[in-house]
Amino acid sequence: MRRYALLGVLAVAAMLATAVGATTAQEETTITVWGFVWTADWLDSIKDGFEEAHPGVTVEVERFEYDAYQDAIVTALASGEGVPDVATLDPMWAGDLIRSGALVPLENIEEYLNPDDFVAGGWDLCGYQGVQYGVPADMDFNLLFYRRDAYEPAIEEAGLDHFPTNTEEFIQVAQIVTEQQGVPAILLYQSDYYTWYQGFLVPYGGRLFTEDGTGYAFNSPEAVEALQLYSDLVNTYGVGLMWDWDTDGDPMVALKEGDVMAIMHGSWYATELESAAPEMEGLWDVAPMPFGPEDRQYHAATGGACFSIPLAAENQDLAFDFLVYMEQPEVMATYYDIVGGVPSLATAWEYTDLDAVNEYMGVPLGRLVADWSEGVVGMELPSAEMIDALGEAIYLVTAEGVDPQEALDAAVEACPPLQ
Amino acid sequence: MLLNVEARERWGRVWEKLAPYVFISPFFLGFAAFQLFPISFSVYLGFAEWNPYVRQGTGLSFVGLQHFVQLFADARFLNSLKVTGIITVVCTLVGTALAVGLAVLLDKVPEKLSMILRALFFMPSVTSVVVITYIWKQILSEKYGYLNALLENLGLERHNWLGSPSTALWALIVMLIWSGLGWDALIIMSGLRSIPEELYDAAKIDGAGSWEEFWYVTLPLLRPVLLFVVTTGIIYLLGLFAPVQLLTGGGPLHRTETVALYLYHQAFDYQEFGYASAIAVTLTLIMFVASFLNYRFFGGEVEY
Repeated sequence: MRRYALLGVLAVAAMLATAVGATTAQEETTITVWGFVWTADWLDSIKDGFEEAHPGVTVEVERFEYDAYQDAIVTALASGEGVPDVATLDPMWAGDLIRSGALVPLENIEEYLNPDDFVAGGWDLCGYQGVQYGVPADMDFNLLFYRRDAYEPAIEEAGLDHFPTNTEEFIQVAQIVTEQQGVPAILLYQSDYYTWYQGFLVPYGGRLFTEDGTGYAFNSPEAVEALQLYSDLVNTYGVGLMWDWDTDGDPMVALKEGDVMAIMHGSWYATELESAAPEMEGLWDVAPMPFGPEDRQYHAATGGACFSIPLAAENQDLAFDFLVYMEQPEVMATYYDIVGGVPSLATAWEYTDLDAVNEYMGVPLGRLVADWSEGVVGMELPSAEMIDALGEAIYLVTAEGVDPQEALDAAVEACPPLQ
Repeated sequence: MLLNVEARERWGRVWEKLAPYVFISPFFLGFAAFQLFPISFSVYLGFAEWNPYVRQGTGLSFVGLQHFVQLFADARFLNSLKVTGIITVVCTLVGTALAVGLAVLLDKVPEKLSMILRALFFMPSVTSVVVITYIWKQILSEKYGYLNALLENLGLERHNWLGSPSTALWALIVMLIWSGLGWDALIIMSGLRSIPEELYDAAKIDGAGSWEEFWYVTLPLLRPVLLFVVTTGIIYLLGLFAPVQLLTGGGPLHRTETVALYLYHQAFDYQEFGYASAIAVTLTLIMFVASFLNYRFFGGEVEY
């Protein structure tokens, strides 16, 4: 009798356990979202809203330091272990993942999100050969941070009533700055594909890839002109300071010491300046990149973080829902409040105070970025080989005096064929 | 009952034989899972093309010796081999010679002073490579470096030590020799102290001067210690990665790009895991050959 009673208790316990297990499985789905530093802060702040809208779903945000993030994501995707459901990607290296087939093509995303709601360059950033592989967060295009006290008198002396908007005007002003201040007017990064591409190649109308994406185009006449200018600013006009991040370290020291009067970076650099050089409050101003011909179409290309779903992600449907959720205007507006980056989603702008004046800079930085975003194009997604080859070409031209056409042809030759 | 006893005895005999293996098995299981399998897989990958992102199938396709053939036509790999070779040869020869000299000097000074100097010279060995590299960047920086400031004060021109293709490799080599000197000297010094004093007395009686003592007594008897210092040094230098990545990033123009750094770029930047594995296999083979040659050159018994 006692044996039957024991069996009965066990049977009930087993049924309960099964039932609880089933309930748990149904109710406790966890989606993991990976982000680096600032994007992780934002993802952390928005996850509650998604969880409320999806009872039983938990969003786990994993935060990485930026430097370690690329290795972490490549290792996870390659091993297939611990793959996040949503991954924050940097367009600097997202291209290789897309071309390797590591990300889910978001073929029906336009049923849920309207590309017209986004700044064109921002939406295009996550696309490759006409297919969308992610959704954008913010716009990150190069601006020129310049010293007011050096440039304003020079602009006046040059007889201009505006900050230079083409190469000719800039060189004229930069020469005056250099002469008056006794230090270079602008800092240029040595061997840096990104600076050259963003602020020089694009304004000159050049491209990295051919229109159909099957070949390289960065040895075009426009590219040669852009690279020649990059070199000439230092070697011919004497207005540039060439800076190698690998060997010279952080250029902040040069800015703080007053050894150079301008630097090119995304709008996020205002925060860097503020934290590293608080004593320079009010000394800095910002302008769109000043290079290219007078009739240039774009002044820069935009990068910025984007969010994608790895092919090996476990909860792809929920991950898709999460992407759609984060691109709701009210949600995306908080990206500006928390990170400071202006969202690519233009309909989000009205939900935040873009007109707020950045106290350090003394300008409404968010509004300026939003306004200037009309003149940017989406960054073409480079491959790591291409970045290396272009870095080498830039070094050869700027430091070794090699002919730009020759250097760029060699760089194209060094890149693997595209499919 | 009799059967039970027999079975128990048989089991006892089996257990007696098995027990040692059972007790050491945790190590071997760990070794198999975390070393043997990854190493074997890496060797296999050297002969395969692998797209790890493919979800259907393994993404692996056997390509035979293709990667290895490709390696020896790859100018960047050959350059990295040359860079690694120069670093290894120069650091080993100059570094070991300096370490022997330093050890002999430290052995000659009074013990208290020797202790202080040993601690000072050993300090870089217990300092993080990140800190060491940062210090050397401060010294060698073109714009704000101490070395250039000194040169300028002496009326000489500044030089871009780390950013110039002609000097970057040598700047790296100087840093490597400096950071490894204390460790090597300490090991060599322990070898020096194990040489019996009578041998020096006998050499003196035979009319040997300081140089002869060093050449005919010290150096031959240091052979086992030198074998250790040189072999471990060569293995470290052939796989050199972190100091290069931190000091120059392999630039300018790949002039400081070592094989290990190139391997890293192939795997994690270009995602060419098969090709990177072929580089790893080749590097391991080079290490084996170098260690074997060392053993042949420095190896053998030393009798006092």
